[in-house]
Amino acid sequence: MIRTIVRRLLVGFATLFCVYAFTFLMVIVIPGNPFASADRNMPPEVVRALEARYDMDDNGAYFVQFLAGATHLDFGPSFQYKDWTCSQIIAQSLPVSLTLGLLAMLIAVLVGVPVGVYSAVWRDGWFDLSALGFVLIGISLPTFVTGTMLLTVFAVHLKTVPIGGWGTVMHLPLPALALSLPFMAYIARLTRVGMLDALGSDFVRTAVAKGLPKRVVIFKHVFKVAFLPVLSYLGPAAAQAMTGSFVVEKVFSVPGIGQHFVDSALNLDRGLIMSTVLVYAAIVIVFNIAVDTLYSFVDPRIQGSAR
Amino acid sequence: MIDTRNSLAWRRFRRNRAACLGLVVMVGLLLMSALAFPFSSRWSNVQDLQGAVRAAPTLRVVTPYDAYERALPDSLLGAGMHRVAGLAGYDDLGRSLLFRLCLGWLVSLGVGLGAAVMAVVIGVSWGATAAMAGGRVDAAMMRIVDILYGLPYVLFVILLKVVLEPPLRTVLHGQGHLANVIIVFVAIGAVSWLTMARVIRGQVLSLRSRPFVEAAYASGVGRMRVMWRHLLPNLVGPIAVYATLVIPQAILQESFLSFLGIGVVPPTPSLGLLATDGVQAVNSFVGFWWLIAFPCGILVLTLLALNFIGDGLRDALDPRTDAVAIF
Repeated sequence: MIRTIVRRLLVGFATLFCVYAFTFLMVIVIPGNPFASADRNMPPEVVRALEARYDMDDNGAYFVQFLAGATHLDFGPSFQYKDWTCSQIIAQSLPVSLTLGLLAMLIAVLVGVPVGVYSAVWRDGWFDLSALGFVLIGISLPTFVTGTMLLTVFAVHLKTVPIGGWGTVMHLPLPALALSLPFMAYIARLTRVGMLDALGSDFVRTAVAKGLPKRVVIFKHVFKVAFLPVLSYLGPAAAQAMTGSFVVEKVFSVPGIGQHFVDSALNLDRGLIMSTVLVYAAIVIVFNIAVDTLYSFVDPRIQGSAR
Repeated sequence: MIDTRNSLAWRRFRRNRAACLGLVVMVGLLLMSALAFPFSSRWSNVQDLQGAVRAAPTLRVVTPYDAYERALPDSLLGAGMHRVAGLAGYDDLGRSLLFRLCLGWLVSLGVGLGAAVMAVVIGVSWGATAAMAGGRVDAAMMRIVDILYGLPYVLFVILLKVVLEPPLRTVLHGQGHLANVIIVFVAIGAVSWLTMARVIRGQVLSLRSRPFVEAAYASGVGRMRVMWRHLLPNLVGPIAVYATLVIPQAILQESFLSFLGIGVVPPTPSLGLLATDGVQAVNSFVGFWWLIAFPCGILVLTLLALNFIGDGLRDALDPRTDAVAIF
């Protein structure tokens, strides 16, 4: 077990390095830089001096230097936010996104799994059909629409929560709910499919035949099997919810890391692009390892990678 | 009658009620917007700031024909189109939402189709090459796919846009709107081929050791020819399935990009942009339900139809797939 985790962590570091190299390549082929914009009209000496300050004149040196800094989480200065280092920006925005994402995943699992179980057990009943309708909406309505609707109903009309921002507990529920909807819908459906598969298998028939109560069969036998696909979906989904929430963050003006994914690329903010990509990739890797480890606890037949 | 594989697949598809409904919806929407295209392409941006600003849906003629007429010679169809201009209401600038929806739907579908084509071309060639090469090349190519999976797609869509925009603008000089739509689907397509590559690699790996392929090799057929004549026809099923499933994803991603202000550039309408406009109208004033209900309704309808068609195709063409069908 520990050997597997260590091996996967080593592979993870190698992957991180490849991600870094790839991003670096993308960043240096992009034409232009933030200092050469037409409206600022700086003399060429100043531009050169600025480029030297941000190590833009020597790509090879920058590659090594950034990597050296990144090993102790020092990602250098940001072009866009002059008074901030990239590490400070991430340290400030990442916890916000992590909180939001974790809460959203919690809601998605706590609602999605029971809904899936219930609609599988009472297949094609009224609950199953209305759950299907809800799932279809959750999957195909963009989060900026659902988010705004939630905002209009709960913040503008009912005035139960503040309209946007971050800081108090009351700021949490709406963005977390909006973020969780697509995941919730997918998890509900995944659980339902898994449950239906398991309900039709031989060991369930045996369990029912030997007279076990339905509740015990469903929760002790069927659910255990049905939960596995949900578990392997949780890894990438959690990483996505924690870092890919830029749309929800924009709707609810949450100061998370999502905005930096968009802004850093638009502003050609080299240091911030690379540091946000590295953080994202690291989170994806860690979550995949965590889920695979959990997986082998739940289902001991699987050793190491779940895929 | 003897059942060929295709007619069997078609029969299986027809048995799937949701997929058939999806097909009907898509054909209906396509007919509608194709019929309206000669008008919507010219009239979708005609503003009427006098009487039509945020006017509710109506059967009444709000904007006089003169406002539109200069754009198109008088015709019976044109007169009819003019009469229904107010059917879905008007937006902030007094533009007919119906025309904008018709054109926007086509733009969104175009983005989806373009992205799907990109994903098919890159994904199939990548996956098939990896599987045919095998060994270290295969491992390296699939490792790259793994790495790309771990990257935030928005950032790469934006970076691709930044890189591709200047050269494409010079190639398509004078057609800024077209260039902009092309950039959007190229950027989305360039990040959505990963699943396709994985699926195709798996399929080729399993086909590669089949007797008919070995027979082809044994009778002296070259690698490329085996690929084209013997493997590719067997890949049509999964390719069709995954291409259909890429389209709704791409349309949804376009709407996110448009919401963030980095997708389709106004005044060209797209479903994402129209939904964004609607969301903003609802945000600032309460009411104006049509501005959000119609774009989102069409968006949901389109995405559901495409998802159903994709699932129906998967059941019909590729019954043994290991991917989870969630509907």
